[in-house]
Amino acid sequence: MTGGTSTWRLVAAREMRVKMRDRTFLLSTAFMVLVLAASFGVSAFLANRTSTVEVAVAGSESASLVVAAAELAERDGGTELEAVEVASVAEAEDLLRATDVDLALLPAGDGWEVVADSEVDGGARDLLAEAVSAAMIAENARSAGTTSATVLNGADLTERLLDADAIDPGLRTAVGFVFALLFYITALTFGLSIAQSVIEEKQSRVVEILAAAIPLRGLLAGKVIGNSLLAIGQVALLSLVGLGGMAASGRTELLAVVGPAGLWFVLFFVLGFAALACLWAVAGSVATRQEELQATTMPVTTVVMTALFVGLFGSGQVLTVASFVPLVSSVAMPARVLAGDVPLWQSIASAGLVAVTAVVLVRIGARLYEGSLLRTDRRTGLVEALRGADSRSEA
Amino acid sequence: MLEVDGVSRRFGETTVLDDVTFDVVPGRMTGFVGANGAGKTTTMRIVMGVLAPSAGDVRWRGEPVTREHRRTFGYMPEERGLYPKSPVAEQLVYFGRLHGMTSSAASSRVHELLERLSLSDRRGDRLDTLSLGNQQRVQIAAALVHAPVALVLDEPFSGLDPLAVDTMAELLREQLRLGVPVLFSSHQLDLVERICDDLVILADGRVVASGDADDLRSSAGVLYRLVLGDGDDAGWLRGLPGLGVADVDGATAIVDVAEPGAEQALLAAALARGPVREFARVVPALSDVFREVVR
Repeated sequence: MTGGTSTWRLVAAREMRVKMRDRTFLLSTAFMVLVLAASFGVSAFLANRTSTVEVAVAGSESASLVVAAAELAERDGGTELEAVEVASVAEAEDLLRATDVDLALLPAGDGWEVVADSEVDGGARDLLAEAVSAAMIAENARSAGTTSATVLNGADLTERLLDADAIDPGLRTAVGFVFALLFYITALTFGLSIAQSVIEEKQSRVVEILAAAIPLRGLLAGKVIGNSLLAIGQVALLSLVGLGGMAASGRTELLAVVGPAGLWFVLFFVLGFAALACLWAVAGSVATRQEELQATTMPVTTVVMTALFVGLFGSGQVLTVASFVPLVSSVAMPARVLAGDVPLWQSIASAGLVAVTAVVLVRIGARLYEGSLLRTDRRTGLVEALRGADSRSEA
Repeated sequence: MLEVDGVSRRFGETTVLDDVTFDVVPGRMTGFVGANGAGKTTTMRIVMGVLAPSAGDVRWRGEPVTREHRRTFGYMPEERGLYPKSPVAEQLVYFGRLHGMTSSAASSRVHELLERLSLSDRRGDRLDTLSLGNQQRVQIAAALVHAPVALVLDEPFSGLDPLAVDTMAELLREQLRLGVPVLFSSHQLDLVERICDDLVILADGRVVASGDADDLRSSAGVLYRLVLGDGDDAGWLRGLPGLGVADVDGATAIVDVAEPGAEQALLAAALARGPVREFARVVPALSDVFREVVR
């Protein structure tokens, strides 16, 4: 005989086995992994893509200017310039119209002109301008009996950042968005799966056999733990793919950004999910049929949606307050940590609040679950469920 | 022995069970009968701990029954319950394990049970692909998987064809031979009559009769059936002493013998009048007993 303590393990193992066989679950997980991996692939491709700009040149002087610009381009990376010799301005324009070349560098009056068919590539134009300017300065300096270095003395402009580690706001928003979405999708998917698993047992009446064999709390614990492990597993899998993607695409600077916030995210995710898990089970247990789930899960779904929207659109004072509201904080606090202005004590205090909430909700949830699970005749009201918990002795 | 002692259950103002007391004796099949709504299912749910009694208690081998005891009981709820989307053998093993079996013990027991129930070739199939009769067999397997020490079966025969009834009855007799007390409810009185050793009759939440099935039937009275020669009218026997006339229909009469020996006087009187085609003791059918006590 195994002791009562292992009941939840058997239940959890079954929950996970059933879910791991569920085609919808496997396909959606594979889909998420693929989308994530692909997004890194695409961004790596975009980052490493070099475009070659072909520039029509007439005469050796313009050709050497393009070569100089090409050298500058090599220094920056990204864009390559290539000179294409033409005999005349007319031929250059023909090539431009036929889009055989992208630009033409032609003498115009005292200076030069860049000609394009309808649009000038900004990067290439800047490179050409720099090359033209350097060449002309050198030439004019020589005529004046001096050197470019002398002429340009004191013209250096350098950059200095006060907060070199600050995160690009665009990147911060993107990562925050990913966190919020990940919480939303995972909490909803696995939460609903708890509710469905409860209603399946209730609707098929298998719950009566289970209730006669094991304590209902063991059943509830097994469901919640099994699905939580799967949820955490999925988040971990996606995180690994994400981290792997960052490493593989050489964006290691992202790791430093996402790392600490990511750890907080995982902590808040686990606490938030645990707090909600029993409520999902209650949503399943007060219904009598699958069709009623949409109505009975509404309150929990609303909490998750609120967390999503606050995380996505909250800012300033609102976000700060939200980061202390249990459950909503699961999205809001990591978002604030990403922004980098959260004292450690605040994160810890907020996590403590969620933990306390989780304990309270798990207790209330377990009681409601016990009170409503064996009522198969109709939907159970909350008060009724609380009273119902007394009608069955836990021997 | 499984004892139900003074169990009452109220739902709000309604009393569904009122001081229900009976025993389920090891090795004996106890039939639990009663009209719809008499409280059979409620009683069984209380025995299995799915519902708490408002008063009274259930004892197993003299001790108040605990969850650990119940874990060793086998239960078949009124509304069948299995996982429709899970493979047959897998869920039976799961039930076995929930009842405390090891994984290997559960597997070999499930194998054996499915063999017995001619379901071996369906072991890997999802339950909902099985016919209703076969699902019912899986249901009984779920109650038997952990080699229970007592069986509580709510309408185990409903929905079974006659052959399946025989298979099921044989399975249950096998359990009886192992010394397992079996309590089962049914509204098919002919079936109960055929296979029960003991009877508990429930009406409106009260036990109106219980005990050995044969004794109960005899207690309904000692009846004799008399068939006289053609054309004779049995109406004359109304005046005989020590007899009650239950029914007279032409040459046929059913009499209730109030004083032992009165039946001999009846036979002598009948023979003196003319030919007697038939004279025999009538054992009342269970349905008669049932109607009598429930009335």
